[in-house]
Amino acid sequence: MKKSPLALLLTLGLLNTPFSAFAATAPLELVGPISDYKIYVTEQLDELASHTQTFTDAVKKGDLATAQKLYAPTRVFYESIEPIAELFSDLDASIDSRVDDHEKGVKAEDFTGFHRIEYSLFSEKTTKGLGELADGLNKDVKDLQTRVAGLTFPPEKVVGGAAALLEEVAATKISGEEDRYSHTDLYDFQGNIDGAKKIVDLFRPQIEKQDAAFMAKVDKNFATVNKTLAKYKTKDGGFETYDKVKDSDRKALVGPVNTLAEDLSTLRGKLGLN
Amino acid sequence: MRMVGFPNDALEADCCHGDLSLQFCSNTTDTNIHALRDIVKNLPDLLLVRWKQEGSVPPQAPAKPGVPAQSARNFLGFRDGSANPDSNDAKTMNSIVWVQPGSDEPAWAANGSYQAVRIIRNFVERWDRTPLQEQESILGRIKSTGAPMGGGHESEVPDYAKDPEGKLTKLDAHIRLANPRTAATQDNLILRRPFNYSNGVNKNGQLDMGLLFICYQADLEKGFITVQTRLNGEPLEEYLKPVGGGYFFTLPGVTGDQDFIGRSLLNATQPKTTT
Repeated sequence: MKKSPLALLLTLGLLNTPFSAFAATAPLELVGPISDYKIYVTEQLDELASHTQTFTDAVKKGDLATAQKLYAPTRVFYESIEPIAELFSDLDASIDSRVDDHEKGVKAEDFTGFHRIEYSLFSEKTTKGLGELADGLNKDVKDLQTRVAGLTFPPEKVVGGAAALLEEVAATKISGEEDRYSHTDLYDFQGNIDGAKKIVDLFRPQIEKQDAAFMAKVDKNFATVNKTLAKYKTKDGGFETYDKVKDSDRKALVGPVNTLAEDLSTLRGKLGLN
Repeated sequence: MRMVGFPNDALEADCCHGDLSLQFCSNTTDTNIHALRDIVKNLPDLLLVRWKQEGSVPPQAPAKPGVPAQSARNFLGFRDGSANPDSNDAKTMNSIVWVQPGSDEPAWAANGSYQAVRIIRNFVERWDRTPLQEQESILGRIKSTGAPMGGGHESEVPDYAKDPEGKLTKLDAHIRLANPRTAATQDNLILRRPFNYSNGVNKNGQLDMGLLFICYQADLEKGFITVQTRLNGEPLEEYLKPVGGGYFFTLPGVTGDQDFIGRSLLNATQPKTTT
């Protein structure tokens, strides 16, 4: 996977970027973290693909209890790399669209993917009639793997991904609207946060060089969010359902999440990417 | 024709479609509310309110002599309506907005116009966290002046022929996709009449506000539907979620004091009396 710096520059399309765009950070400094991020995304997608296979096998076998148990831990790999996955909007719609994206609701023909299966598993409590949806999800995830493998990661999308993940949390996780049937929102919440933290960690040396105080503030807010999430971890490594999250904790999460969203939105600027 | 959701839409059944679109416009919200209540009170057996969306247009400073008027700003903070066709130009309005007699529309529709309404939620918190340069390149206009990229005034017309690779105005910039300004896309021009709306707070604590987009055209397919189809997948979608609206028909206006709104339609649907 490791390539020579020049080959990476070509792969990443950085040679075509004017050098003035990197006033603050030399392009070579970003090549390493971006290629490391591609490795991370590839690994997460491998996990997503194998977990999706196991999950959909359970669905197709009619094993409701196993399918319900595997739903959230499978999705989490998608949530952690969502900004990259969303670059393919057709697949994002077929894998991860929510019921409110469809005027006809659960009956909409193009309502497919995780949340449609979630509806049957947790609301109707059945695996009946899910065969085609399970196969479709598997196929879409494999398609996503192939497409990401051939993707040149745009630096601004990678760095901007940290903020995009926090926007996901602020818009859909705080309200508990993401997994409205299974109430497993905290898995997705943690997935988004971990995915954002990963990006920050990869660019840590460059960020610290620009603004050490900023880095410390970001770390503090990540720690606060993680500490609150940890209160709801279960013994098997999973999470309590979102309805168990106390109102005071929901509110306590809003501040650090919004502050992270604000701060991480400046990351591109700090690293000289526009 | 019933509005069908576009890929980025998340239409809420509670604020979509309907048999009749009624628009009240005045200088104060109260006037509109009282007019609506009068209608409701007087037509209890005929009308049921399906949904309602209030909107406003921020007041503009009077235009300076010799300087073209500026468009109002939407809640993304950008001037909206800059490239709108001139509604005082009858020839342009006849070709873009009004259904023409002798077209393939029914005779009663002549001099009416198709109305597309869209309630487009703006993710303003996320937008406000987006760097200015990125906002401008997503829309293709300068935020302060409303001028196209590289321009000085809102009324300037971008020359995309000189920018085929999108170095100045990105190829997927909102204004470039919406109106590519080629001879072929002149057929897709629409007359926009948008309003800003602000409704309260969403479940996630984010502000529920955006654009009550309304546009008029003689042909919905050639107009709004083609324009919106070109916009599908645009980078701006990250900050927008259309949640409601519908397609309606604006009846021809009255021609004199013996005329009334809807006369041509009612005449056309009247059962023919046989002698």
